Amino acid sequence: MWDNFDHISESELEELKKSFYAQSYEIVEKLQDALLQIAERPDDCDMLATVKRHVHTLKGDALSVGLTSVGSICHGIEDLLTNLSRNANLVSEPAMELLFTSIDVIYQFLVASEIGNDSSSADAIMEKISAYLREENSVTKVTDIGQKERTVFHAFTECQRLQLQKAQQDGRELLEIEITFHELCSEKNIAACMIIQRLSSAGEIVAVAPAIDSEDIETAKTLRCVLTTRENEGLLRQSAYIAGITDTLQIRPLQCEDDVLALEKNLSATPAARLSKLENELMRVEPEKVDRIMNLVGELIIGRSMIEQIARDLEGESVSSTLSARLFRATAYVERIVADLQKSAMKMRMVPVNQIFRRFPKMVRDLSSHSGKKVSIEIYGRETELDKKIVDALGEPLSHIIRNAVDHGIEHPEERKRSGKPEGGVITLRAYHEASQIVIEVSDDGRGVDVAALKRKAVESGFIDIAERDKLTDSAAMNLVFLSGLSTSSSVGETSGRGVGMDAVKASIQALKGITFVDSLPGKGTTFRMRLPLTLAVIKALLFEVSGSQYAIPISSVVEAVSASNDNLTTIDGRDALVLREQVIPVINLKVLFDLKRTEDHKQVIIVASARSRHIGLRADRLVGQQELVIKSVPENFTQSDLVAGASILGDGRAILILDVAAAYRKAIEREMNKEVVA
Amino acid sequence: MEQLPVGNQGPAFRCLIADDSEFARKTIGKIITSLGGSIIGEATTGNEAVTMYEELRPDLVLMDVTMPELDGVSALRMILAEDEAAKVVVVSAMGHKEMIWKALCMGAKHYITKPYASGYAGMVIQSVIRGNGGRAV
Repeated sequence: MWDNFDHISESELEELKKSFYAQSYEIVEKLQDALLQIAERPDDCDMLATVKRHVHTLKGDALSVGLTSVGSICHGIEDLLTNLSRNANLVSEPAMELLFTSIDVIYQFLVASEIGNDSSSADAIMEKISAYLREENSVTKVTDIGQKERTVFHAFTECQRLQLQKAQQDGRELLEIEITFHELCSEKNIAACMIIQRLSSAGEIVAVAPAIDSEDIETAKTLRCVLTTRENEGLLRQSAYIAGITDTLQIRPLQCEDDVLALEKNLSATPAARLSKLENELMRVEPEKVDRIMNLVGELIIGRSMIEQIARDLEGESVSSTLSARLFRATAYVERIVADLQKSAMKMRMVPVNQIFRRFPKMVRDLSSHSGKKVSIEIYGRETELDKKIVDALGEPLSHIIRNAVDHGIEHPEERKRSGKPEGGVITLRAYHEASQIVIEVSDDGRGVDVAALKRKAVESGFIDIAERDKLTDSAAMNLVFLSGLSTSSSVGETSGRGVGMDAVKASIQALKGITFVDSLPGKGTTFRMRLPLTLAVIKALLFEVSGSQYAIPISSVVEAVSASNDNLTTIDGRDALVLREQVIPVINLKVLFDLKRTEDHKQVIIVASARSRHIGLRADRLVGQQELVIKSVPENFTQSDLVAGASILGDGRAILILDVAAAYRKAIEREMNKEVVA
Repeated sequence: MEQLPVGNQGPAFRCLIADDSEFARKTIGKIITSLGGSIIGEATTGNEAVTMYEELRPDLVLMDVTMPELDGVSALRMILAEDEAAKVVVVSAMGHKEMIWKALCMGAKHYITKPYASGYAGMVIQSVIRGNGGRAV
């Protein structure tokens, strides 16, 4: 493999390899997605075309790097697909299975070759494919993949055609808009850009003629656009009518081949079309690069604050007042840009949750066939966007929950029938915005959690005592599912049921600054709800002051704040504690923890925070307020960095440390222990 | 303040003209008054335009893109930083496409290129004055 690449440097080769595997895995995932969709709708010709396109890409890539095994499987799949479309077959179950298997084999080969083992032979799967083809029709082994699939939109480029087809599937209208320029309109390319920009807020522009960047446009009398939209004609007219630019305006449906052909000569891809969200046109950027931009934005904020300070200082000096006013204006302007820049950089990190959701249909399909249960999955809100880091980290916990749902939640078909439910169980995966957070929900319509059994187990395993058990409300008891090593399931499944997992789920969601809830109705099902921040790069934080320095903690871990008084503070075993609504909460004195100067203990506040599902109190001098902080990492050798989750820069350029509540709690306990040893 | 002359073509509006050419200021000024607008300020540099905008808060600014000290696009930027809703029409000689496009993207409402027919310029200005203040692009 990679024999053809001896003319490039080691590092370039490394990079090429990286991108080959990244892209190939992505294609494999997309193929699996597409096949699943075909499995649901066997007559979906467009999906077949998509599969073909992906296979073709993969074949080309694999052959060019010398991964012949994958190349030939792809070729086999192409034969299979050509055969299907020529015979206008609906995709039969055996063909489907064969396609799935082939893709799985390709995946295995990719993995093997990535770790340096590319000796795998594709013979076995190739034999299966040709056997299938032999059986299907007596004439086989055809390789005329060049045969064009019939489509209405063949006058457009591939990319435009896909856009139009997709729009049509989504039930959007395909329209052609013809605009006559005002006779005095000049700089028509700008005029056209204005029209197109405004139209694109009402629909998706697929093509524009003449091309905006062509010479022809300055002399053109008319501008034609093809766009897809859900909006009504009135709104389109309003968008496309600009005084001094638009003279007349016609809107007509784009339906038949003729229209497309008529446009063919002078239609070209618009910048909008080029930038369209077709996945294969997205740019790959290493996350570190985006992080670097985020960091630089942070620096920029500091720089801006410095300039603003100068402007403020100048105000008092004898410099002309207009000069300092201008400086203020300039900083205001910079501030706006910086804010936009920060938002854009943050947006770059946002990806749709579908990046991980997409793997679950296959997983549920596999799991349900293994377990002999009928389970389907419904997914809502795939397009909801989240920080890439969070999306990546969600894969594992979600897999856990979904496996659990299949293994323990959903009952066997007979049992479901007995309890009057449909035989097939449904797992619903949902993502949606709630306030400034994202909620991800996994629910099943299975048997629900047996709270009584859970309590019994918890007592048996020594997590709680009988008295505690009796005090637990059902909803509080539900949280016992998150205890490590606790499982109510009598049987241990292949993939779950060993009592590990749910605690890991909770921990990994917590690491993402999120919270997990569970809710269950016996016989009706269970819902896990994870509430996550949109991004880890910026957090909402509570700022407070201790001995003159400011600190912050993520607002997600703050429960409440109370002012300290002799009434609610007490000492138990020599340790400070807060009595709050009959609950005793250990209190950490941050001054002691940070070795800060102990100022006179005037009025203080206790911030009640939750760390590892326990409440602790943090004693601070005063609260400063809430603020959104851009998190910057702290150099490793930084003092007390074990207590610090990150740092940030305040608006005035001062640095502020973000406290790791859990670590602070640990540290406080260690100190207590040491004190006892010394004593 | 002087009485606003009200023309029969539309509502009264207060206009700031920023152009380093006196001739250009005069010609566009004529169009403004013919539309029923009044010229409440004339700036010859971008800086002046920004300062005058803040003082006068006109309903409309006609901004030449090429001016000494601070060009029209930068002045536009500062005006919009101060007042997001500012209605600015950029005026430019032919061949400054990039400047015009920049200005439109930044939030200018429309553009006029020199030389212009007064009827045409009037139509553009009037559409901006009547417009709902939405973005051009």
